[in-house]
Amino acid sequence: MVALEEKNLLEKLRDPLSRSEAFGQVVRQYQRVLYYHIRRMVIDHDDADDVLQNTLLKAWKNIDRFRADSSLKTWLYRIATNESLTFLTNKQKRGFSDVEDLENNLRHSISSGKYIDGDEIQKKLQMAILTLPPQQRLVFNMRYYDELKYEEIAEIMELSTGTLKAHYHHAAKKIEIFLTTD
Amino acid sequence: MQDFDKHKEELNETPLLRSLKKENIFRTPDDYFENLPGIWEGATPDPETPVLNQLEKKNIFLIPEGYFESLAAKIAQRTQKVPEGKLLRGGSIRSLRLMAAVAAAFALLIAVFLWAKWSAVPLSPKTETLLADISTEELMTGVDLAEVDLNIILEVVGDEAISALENTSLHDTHGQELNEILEELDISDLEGLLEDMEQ
Repeated sequence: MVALEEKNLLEKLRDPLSRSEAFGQVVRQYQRVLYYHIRRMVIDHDDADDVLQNTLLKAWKNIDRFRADSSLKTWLYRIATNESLTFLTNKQKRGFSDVEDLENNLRHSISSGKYIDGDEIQKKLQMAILTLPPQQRLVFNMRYYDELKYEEIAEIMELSTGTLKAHYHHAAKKIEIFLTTD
Repeated sequence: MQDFDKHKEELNETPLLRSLKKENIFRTPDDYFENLPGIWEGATPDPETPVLNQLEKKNIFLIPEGYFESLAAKIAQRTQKVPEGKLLRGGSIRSLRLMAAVAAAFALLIAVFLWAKWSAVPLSPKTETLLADISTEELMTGVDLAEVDLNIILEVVGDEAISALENTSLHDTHGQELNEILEELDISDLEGLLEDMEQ
């Protein structure tokens, strides 16, 4: 059923007459998952908004090149992932001396940023996730929060499921240690 | 054994069915069974992470009211403005605002340069210093701001040049005429300038 709906949507996206309307449907359908995927990486809402808009505009620009080898969802996730990583790299280059400096900034956003609401343990979990290398963060977030299958994450990140399972396992263990220490 | 015999007897009653080869026509997606343990793994708490297992999955990230409701319209507006193949490059939306500000600074410099040339008035030492920070080639050809990282633009222009530009009292010397030039440089011109640089 989902595959059929996506097939219809893709047909509309390929037709210049219905493309704009169909893309609106794509935005409405995926905006929330993409937003939270990005937000968990960049933390700040305004940054997430920028990255999400860039992601969607990039998808719009390249929709003709989408060959449906993967699902629309994983394709959009891949763009969002790349955009998030690029954004973080640029942010670090522009205003921070190193990765640690950027991490401190992101930690500060979690502890006292705008549009954050959660009890201490939830914030601590986010802080723990921030200590992970970007790839492990991505894998952990997509598996733990978005509950994506390893095959889907493999398509998004172009890694084998075995590597992803190892990433997730290491990430979860590091987080556990962070949560159990003061 | 009894069951087997019974089954044989049943098949004797249906000779056509008996003659058919038992074949499985149902196929599974590639690696379906290989990945099935992965699905099961996700549902099974990892004994090595008891604290994480106990945590409730909560979303701590809030959004401004009506954010998602207005996003689709915002994107639709932007995709109409920027059709396929004309996506603005060069970083985030907010950095574009900064770039527009830098573009404004460039436009101002060029306006000063051209105005001074036309009016055959020698440039003040201060303005000359500002222009010296930008190579002639860049002034002649224009800089494709969209292709250049904001940091690079700022490096080219230089912090001192930017702050000197902010502090330059252009009105002191040629107030009225310069005002007219600046009035012509409105925001739509700058947007156009940015778009032209995109192409």
